Amino acid sequence: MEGQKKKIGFLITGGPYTFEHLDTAYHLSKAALKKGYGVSIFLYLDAVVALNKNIKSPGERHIPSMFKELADEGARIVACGDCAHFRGLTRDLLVEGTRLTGIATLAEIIEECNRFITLGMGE
Amino acid sequence: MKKVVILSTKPPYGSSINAEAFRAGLGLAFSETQVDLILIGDGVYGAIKEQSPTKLQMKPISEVYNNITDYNINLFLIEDSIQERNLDFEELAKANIISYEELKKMINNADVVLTF
Repeated sequence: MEGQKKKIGFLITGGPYTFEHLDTAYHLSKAALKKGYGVSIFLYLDAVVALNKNIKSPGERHIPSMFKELADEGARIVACGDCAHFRGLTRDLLVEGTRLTGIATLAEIIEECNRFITLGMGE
Repeated sequence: MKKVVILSTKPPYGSSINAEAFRAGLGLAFSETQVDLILIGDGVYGAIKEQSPTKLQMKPISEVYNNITDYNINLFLIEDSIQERNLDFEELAKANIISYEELKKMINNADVVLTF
């Protein structure tokens, strides 16, 4: 990987607002992007609903916008399509800059990352 | 090819986490990743051969673990977790039984650890 920029990846399984895993990933990603790292985030299980742009969070942080912000800064944000299907999250509901994909993409992210972190319900 | 260790820590029913750990492993194994799936703590309950969760409207996860080699996944069970739960080795799916010491080595040798 000499000469290439370092990459960090995340697998997140905990849902938004119930757990803080998405927030942790957001803050770590901001710091990594600032240091010039490539960032990839794979949302799995309940975490996928965090990309629903119709989420309303009066007076609270708006998690879909936080992930749009990361995407705007160059992070790759993808969510498991099967998990989305089971939760009624369709493509038209996705916040800009994010997309649905399969576990093959998780394998791809793991393959290319120097560091990979799981944040979720197994803790 | 990267080596991924998946730690499956949750019981097979009550949540989908145990099954989802397997599903993630399945997808990774299909994508040319070496997958070692480790049932640890309450995760070992998933390996009980005879399960009938139909009253819970769930499918028996044992069907998966009984045929794990079909999926190109290496299955490991933690010896201490089995003994702590008074399970007999005979009632569990065929798998590699390992100690915490062996687990430590596997984690050290892995490129990535996913915890479910």
